[in-house]
Amino acid sequence: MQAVILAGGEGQRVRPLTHSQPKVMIPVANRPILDYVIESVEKCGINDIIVVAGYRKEQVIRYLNDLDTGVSVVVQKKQLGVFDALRCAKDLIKGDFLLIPGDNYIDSESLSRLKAERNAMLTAEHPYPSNYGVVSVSGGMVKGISEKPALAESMTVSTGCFSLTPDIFNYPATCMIPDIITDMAKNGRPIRAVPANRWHDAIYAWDLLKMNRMALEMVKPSISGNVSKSASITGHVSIGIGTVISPYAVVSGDVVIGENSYIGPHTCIMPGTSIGSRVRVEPFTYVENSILMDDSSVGSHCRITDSVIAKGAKLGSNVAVEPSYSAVEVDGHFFKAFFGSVVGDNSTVAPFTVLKHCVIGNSSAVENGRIIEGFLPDGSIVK
Amino acid sequence: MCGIVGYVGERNAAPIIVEGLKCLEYRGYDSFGLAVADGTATDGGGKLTVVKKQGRISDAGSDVSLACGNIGIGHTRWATHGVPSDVNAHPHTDCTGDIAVVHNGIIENYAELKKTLIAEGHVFKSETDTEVIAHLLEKFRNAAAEKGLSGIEKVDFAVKNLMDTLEGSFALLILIRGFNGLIAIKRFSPLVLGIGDDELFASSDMTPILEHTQKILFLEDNDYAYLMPDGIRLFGYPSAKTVERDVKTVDWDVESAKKGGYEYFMEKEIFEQPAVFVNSFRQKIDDGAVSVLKKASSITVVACGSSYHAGLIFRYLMEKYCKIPVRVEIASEFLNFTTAKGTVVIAVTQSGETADTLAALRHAKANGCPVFAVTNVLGSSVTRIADYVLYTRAGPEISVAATKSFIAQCAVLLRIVSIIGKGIFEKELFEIYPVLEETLLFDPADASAVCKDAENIFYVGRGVYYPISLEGALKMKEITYIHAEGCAAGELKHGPFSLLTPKTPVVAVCTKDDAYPVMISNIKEMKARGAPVIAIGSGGDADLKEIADIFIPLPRSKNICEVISATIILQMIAYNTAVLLGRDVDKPRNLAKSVTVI
Amino acid sequence: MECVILAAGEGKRMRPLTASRPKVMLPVAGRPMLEHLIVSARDAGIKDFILVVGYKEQDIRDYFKDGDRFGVKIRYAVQRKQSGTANALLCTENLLKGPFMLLNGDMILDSDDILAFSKSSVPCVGTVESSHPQDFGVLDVDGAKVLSIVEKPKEPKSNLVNAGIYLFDTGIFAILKSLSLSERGEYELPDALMQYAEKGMLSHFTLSSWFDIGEPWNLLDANEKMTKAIFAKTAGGDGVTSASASDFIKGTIEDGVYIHGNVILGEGSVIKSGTYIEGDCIIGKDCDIGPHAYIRGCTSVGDNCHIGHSVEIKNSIVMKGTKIPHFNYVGDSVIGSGCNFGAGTKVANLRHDRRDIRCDGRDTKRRKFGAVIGDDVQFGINCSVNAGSWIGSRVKAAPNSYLSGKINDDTVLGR
Repeated sequence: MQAVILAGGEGQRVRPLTHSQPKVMIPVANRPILDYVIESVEKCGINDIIVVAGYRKEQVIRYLNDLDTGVSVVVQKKQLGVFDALRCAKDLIKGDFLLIPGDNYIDSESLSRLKAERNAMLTAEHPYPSNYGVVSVSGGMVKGISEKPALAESMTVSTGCFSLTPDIFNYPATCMIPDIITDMAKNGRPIRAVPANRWHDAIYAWDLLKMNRMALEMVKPSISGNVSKSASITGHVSIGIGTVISPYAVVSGDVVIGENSYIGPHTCIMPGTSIGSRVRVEPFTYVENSILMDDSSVGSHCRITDSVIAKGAKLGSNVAVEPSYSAVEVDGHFFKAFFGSVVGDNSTVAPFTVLKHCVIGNSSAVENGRIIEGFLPDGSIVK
Repeated sequence: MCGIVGYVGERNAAPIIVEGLKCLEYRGYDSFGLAVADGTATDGGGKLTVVKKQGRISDAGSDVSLACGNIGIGHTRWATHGVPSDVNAHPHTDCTGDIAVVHNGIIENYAELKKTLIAEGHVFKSETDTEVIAHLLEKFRNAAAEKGLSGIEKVDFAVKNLMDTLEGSFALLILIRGFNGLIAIKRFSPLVLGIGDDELFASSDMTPILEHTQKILFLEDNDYAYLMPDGIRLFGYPSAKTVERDVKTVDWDVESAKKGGYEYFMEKEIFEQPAVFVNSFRQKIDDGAVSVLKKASSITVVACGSSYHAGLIFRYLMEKYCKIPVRVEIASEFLNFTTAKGTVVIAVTQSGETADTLAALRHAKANGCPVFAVTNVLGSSVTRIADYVLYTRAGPEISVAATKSFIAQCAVLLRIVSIIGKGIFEKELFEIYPVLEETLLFDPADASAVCKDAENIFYVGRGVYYPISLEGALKMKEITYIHAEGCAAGELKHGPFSLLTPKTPVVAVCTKDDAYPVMISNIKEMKARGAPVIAIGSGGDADLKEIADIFIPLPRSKNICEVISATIILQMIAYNTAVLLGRDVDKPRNLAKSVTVI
Repeated sequence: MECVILAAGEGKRMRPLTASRPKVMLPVAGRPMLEHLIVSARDAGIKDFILVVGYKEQDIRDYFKDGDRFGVKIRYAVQRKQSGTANALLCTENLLKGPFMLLNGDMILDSDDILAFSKSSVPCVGTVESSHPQDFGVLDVDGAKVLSIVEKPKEPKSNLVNAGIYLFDTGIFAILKSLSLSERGEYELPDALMQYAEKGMLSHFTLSSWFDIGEPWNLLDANEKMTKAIFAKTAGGDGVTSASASDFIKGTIEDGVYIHGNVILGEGSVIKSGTYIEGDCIIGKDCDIGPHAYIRGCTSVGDNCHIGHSVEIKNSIVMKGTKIPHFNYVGDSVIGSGCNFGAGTKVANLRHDRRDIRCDGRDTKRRKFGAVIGDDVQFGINCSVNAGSWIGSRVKAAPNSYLSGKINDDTVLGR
């Protein structure tokens, strides 16, 4: 049995976090989402894995090359949908295979059950089914899929994980997967609907926080680096090589901290927090339920909660995040969501800024302490 | 002439030799060959099979498998004397066909030796310098026989006389029909031995050996050894007395580099550079080395190729920030110069085997200078000459064109600047990782589209960007075969200006540093000659964007980080252009990875 | 009969102890565990060994050399890449001539068992009865015949599991080579066994005792068993005091030392006054014990150790060069070489709720377990090490530190 993992799409809805990497490479609990998928696939006993890379393929390949297990990589030149991506792997496919999106978390137990079936798909219940292919199921069999319908008939959605046979390649190249599945279902090639155990998709950047909390539960606690004995470290905490935890820092798990980072004196790193490598958190700062990606830094006396701070972003001192449950506009659509802030790659935020339920694009600069609300596109400068 | 391998043991030698040569292919790949003998046959008996071909060992066909025997030698060649061809490929044999020799290095007095040998009636088949070795051995063996010597004494006599006669640099492996073993000789060219279970190996570097054993014996210059099924006999020249050399256990994982989904190794290596830079810069440096560096009143860097450019970058930064005079010399020219006692000499060489650089370092050491080596290869020859070794943490580099090893050299040299300059760049470079990651997002398509149709490309810069222009031009010509020239921007109007036309693109590196205003006026002058200008500048530089035909903004960062970013941009342009032109990026014609001949 | 022993692996689950030595060289009752296996096999009449080595092979070669010291002949085969047991076996192809025994290097067997097993018909697989067969390869048998072997099945068909001891003839190599690569890209030994089983050729033999050493805490059980075995064999089992067991005592015992149980004391070692030893202990060469030390349980102390004043050590393994000099307590722990315990540093070995101790997320299945501590760890004074701690090599802990959970190599617990 083989597995084809799709890692070619950008994942535009997670912008601004896909500036330097595709969605599959976004870290939750300091590991790319793709890493969890590969782990689940291996755990269910499949070792012949093909990854289809596309958007920012270099970053994906670099990461795959560092894995212990060999993974074949094929490149999708243009992002022309799932079936096109699958067709890129056609030459390497020897028989029945699993098709798995690389940007959702899926547990290995579900994959094992999927693997046991020929022509099947993993389904899940989702409170907002309209973001997905909504599946109509009857008697355990798929009747059809309607892709992102305005009005969903059921809460059952496709996880994008399929167990397939090579004859799917008989469909013309221009077909779309939902149409193929619907067609197969109609033409006497029954597709079994297999409910998934644990499946999680982050649609928008702030959804990563939930996935992050889930992933943190799986972290094996271990301590490395240079840890002050007067720091308080409790609960599930993992600290990487070369990281400094200063005196009187309070690290309260679930927390993961990467390599060569610096956690200053009197800081509080509270549950639900992932801190990447080479990150600086200066004294007296409070961080909770947030992701601080590699090379980001947070000045002293900040309060950062429910936020995603992307690679290389720099927050000055006394920055406060004020999370709320309110509407944000993305691509002309309004969504209600609870979060604090999302700060894009390499952006800078001046001291004494208040980030009030906002998304700041990549390489932006907030140059004076003020209140930021709503959405700032890439390259914004707030004077 | 670059990589050699030998085997003595119980297994069939040919497949082991072929696999070994594949590991050494980076040292040369225009032809290959091997000789295999059955050592178990008694003197005078046995068969000696020679197979040699033009082309790459990785394309070696089935004829290699016909060679059968428990002793073998092999060679993968990078032509110096004589064009790449079947006949010039090693091994070379004497008139009788009883002696086969593979050689890495250069015999300096081969012309006169060849003349004498021809006069004595020897018939030469190839144009190589190596063939004289085979004929000389034949001659000395005959002389020994006339003296009534036989067996091992005959071999002793021949080897001793051979070493008396040859001048130059050589690592030799010699097979003689009827002699149950092989002879290994080292003088100024790399050769290491491997000790396995009832089997022995010899090779230019340890990679082919590590497949079989971790016990490595590093030969010293003028050592010669007989590798026999019952063990190694090791002698020093000219004493001809038994010598002892340490056998080291090398715990090194032979992880064959894989390029995964990358099209070429060069692409892979370019994308590894952020981590390589950071690891090389942040490594721990020996206290002794630090104290010597801190006391340095002047520094001389010796290097070749890209390493030389790294030396030049070092020079600009060292002189500017530390006010310490730095000389950078091309290693092959270094012997012409004197070095004041007390000058710290730093040899920069990726492989640690570059013959010119080794010779220069020996020269400096003889002058009583403290010598440093900056190299990527553990246990390489340079590490045994230098007083202090700073390793670049680049990992194996497969592509012939240096990218990550160059960046790693820059990182280590910057670290030296930082040590002497009391930590000046530490803080700036602490933040370089995301800057380099951001640099890698650059899409070179526009710039490459201009470059690929050009016949000549100029690279210009001022200050530290002058050597970076040289390196950018080197990358371009190495892998695209387009003529490219690096130039100090101020020098353009002293000559090269006459070459500018609308068909000669100029790549200008112009960040907002001290030289910015003059660079801008230089670029305007070039534009006036109609040359298309590809300008690499600081992020958000609206003026430069206005002037240039193609403007490539560097990620916003500190000046010192821009130096590294700009280098990577130039690599990416060269790489992308070569791919557009359909070149064999990893193995450009006529080039070899480490040049161990002078 | 020739005997192949697989000793090439690192034994990642044995970290941090295997960072500087191969798994089979870990000490049990004062000797490398591999020595016990070779000696058992020798006593069963096997004289000709081939060790498949790889990870840190030099340590194994330097210790066992050509086997002369043990009255056997030892040859070596090198497995360069650790890619499966079948692959390791393939490395020995050129060295074997007839039927041979194959043993995993990380277990301890009884020589009577080996002798009886060696008389089985070839090919044969040794088995043991296990209370948790789902963790192993489980056999389905029909009388003497093996029908199938299934790796870690959810519903085991029997409680007979593969013990990692086999009899083969050289025909196995053709089978190994005929196997297609598994999905892991390895040649798998169970696949070869299945080929025999399918042809109805594979027999099995149930061993009476079997000790698999996979986790650091297994060393404590193995140590206890082998220590007792050594004394049972030579001294007739009954508790003997120091004076009458002079064969075992090569070092010096000062006046006022009370020894209750059996002790082996290596050359150059001194046990100073006031020391009290209970139980069967093995102490290496050039050790400095006491004054007033209290050692109990089956404790093994390596060469050049110092167990000092008012120190209590219970049922632990202490490797060479480690110093536990003043006011320390160490219970049910495995301690690497070159460590230094600051005065007053103690290792806990019992939970308040009396539940089994977990270490690095794994269940030790022991109610009492202290810590696994790597090499060259330095504790300041008065450190407290919690039960179930996993402490990597070269960790440094400031005075008064509290250590708990997993602390990786080179971590500094600073002020």
